[in-house]
Amino acid sequence: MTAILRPDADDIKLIGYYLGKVLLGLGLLQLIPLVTALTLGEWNSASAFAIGAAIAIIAWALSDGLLATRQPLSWAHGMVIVALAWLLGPIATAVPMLLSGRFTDPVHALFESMSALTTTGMSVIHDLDHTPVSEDLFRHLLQIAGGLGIIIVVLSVFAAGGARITTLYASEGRDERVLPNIIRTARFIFQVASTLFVVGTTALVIALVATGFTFPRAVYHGVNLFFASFATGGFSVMQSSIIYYHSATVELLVGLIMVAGTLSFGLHLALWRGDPRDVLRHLETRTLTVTTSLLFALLCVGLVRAGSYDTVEALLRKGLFTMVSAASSTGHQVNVGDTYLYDWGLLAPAAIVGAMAMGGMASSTAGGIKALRVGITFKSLTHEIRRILLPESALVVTTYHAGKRQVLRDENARAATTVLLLFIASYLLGITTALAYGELDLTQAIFEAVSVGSNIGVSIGVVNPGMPDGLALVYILQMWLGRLEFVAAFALLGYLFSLARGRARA
Amino acid sequence: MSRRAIPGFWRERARGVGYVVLLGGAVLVVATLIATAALVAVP
Repeated sequence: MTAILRPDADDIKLIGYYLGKVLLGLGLLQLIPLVTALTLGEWNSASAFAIGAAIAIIAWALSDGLLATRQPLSWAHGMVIVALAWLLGPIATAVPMLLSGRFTDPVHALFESMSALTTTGMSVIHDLDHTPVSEDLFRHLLQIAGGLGIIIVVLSVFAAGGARITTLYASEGRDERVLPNIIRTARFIFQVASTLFVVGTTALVIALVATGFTFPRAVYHGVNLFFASFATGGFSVMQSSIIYYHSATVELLVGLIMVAGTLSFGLHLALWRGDPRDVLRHLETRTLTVTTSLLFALLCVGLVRAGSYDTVEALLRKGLFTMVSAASSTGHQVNVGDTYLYDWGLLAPAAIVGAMAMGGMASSTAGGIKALRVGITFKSLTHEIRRILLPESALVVTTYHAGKRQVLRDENARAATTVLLLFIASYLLGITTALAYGELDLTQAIFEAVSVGSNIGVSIGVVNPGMPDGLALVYILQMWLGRLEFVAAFALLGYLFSLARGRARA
Repeated sequence: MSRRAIPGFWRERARGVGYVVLLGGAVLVVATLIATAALVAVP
């Protein structure tokens, strides 16, 4: 057995150096709501952002001064930096949230920032409807930064580029490289996001003005709605989420933006280049089409049988919207949480849980197990069945289309099923913890644990400002694991183990 | 060279947005058919 080497001081310096850059990025991000707060005279919020930004920027200055190194970045470093960045980032951005006084305690502030950055979208904020503009903007900015990937956002701006970023990019769960060069990939991601931002926000503003909003208020809601929808985050400006707008047009536009958010950036590139065939034959498109259609059929049968809705319009506005919100891992709501429990019967919430567990496409802003892994698991199942049924001498080859024609290999199938099983383990952790508190039934525990673990955000009402801290901490762990898709988290554990038990270098 | 002068700059973006709208429309059509079938089939 190969002995594990203990990381030395240079390794730790390198990790600290890159984490400092992430903190700088998140510190600078806080300057946007700080300027907004100063402009609007929201002095309490301004002081919270000033302190939050100062802490993050001072931490960067210290790391940059003391830890600068030219040591090359290895695969293990990349994994550890990403895992720690997704812990440090939420902690750093929880500071202004805690100082705002809108959260019960530090655990709830951390829950909110983790929920924002991982694009889960569940909220434990007090009195959301009267939150200052700057604080709302900050929550939504965190969602878009987290959705695009805080590492890619921060390092493409501040790091030297090239091979160093490639390692970090892949470690962040963006395993499908859209373009050969990472900087060009990051640039393309920003181009897609900014183009859709202009078009989507304009359409939303027009729709909101048509429903009676004043222009400035329509812009404020439109911008935040776009960030939360394209990031597949699901935060909202109002406590009642999308119900607040009472507008089929707004629901339709938000639905379109959610669909755009769940498409992988590789497929966006195919569409930009005018090759829709690439989208139609992609394994993820086919998997999502089949599973979501089946789940939506189940949802409709459940809703009609439970007597919840009896018109096509109601099934689309309540059922389809919730299905798209769940499958895209956004979490926008057009129902209050109790509706799923008391008015939807059992079959309809089960269909939503299925869609939440599966999530969207890999290398998109979406969360969940991902359609690619579900597709590969299904392909490996059919591969095994064919292998059993065909003569022993037959050479069985299974292929699928994901960017290009690929042969199904054992290691791909094993990786997909391992992550799938780890997601199920995460759901079980959330379910048993919720049940241990003794106040929730099984439906509530399952619904919320799957929603949190897949970074979705559709809530049955368990997550609220009065939620126990223990349950909040388990949900925070689930959100972190779900965003990292486990690999980087386990790499961090292995690294900590090697720090304690590894063999010193000769 | 300004971005306006780059060939295909705007065309690429328009195509990207157009296909997303088309995709959304397809989702809506399929969902309408499924919802109608459910209302007819479920007693």
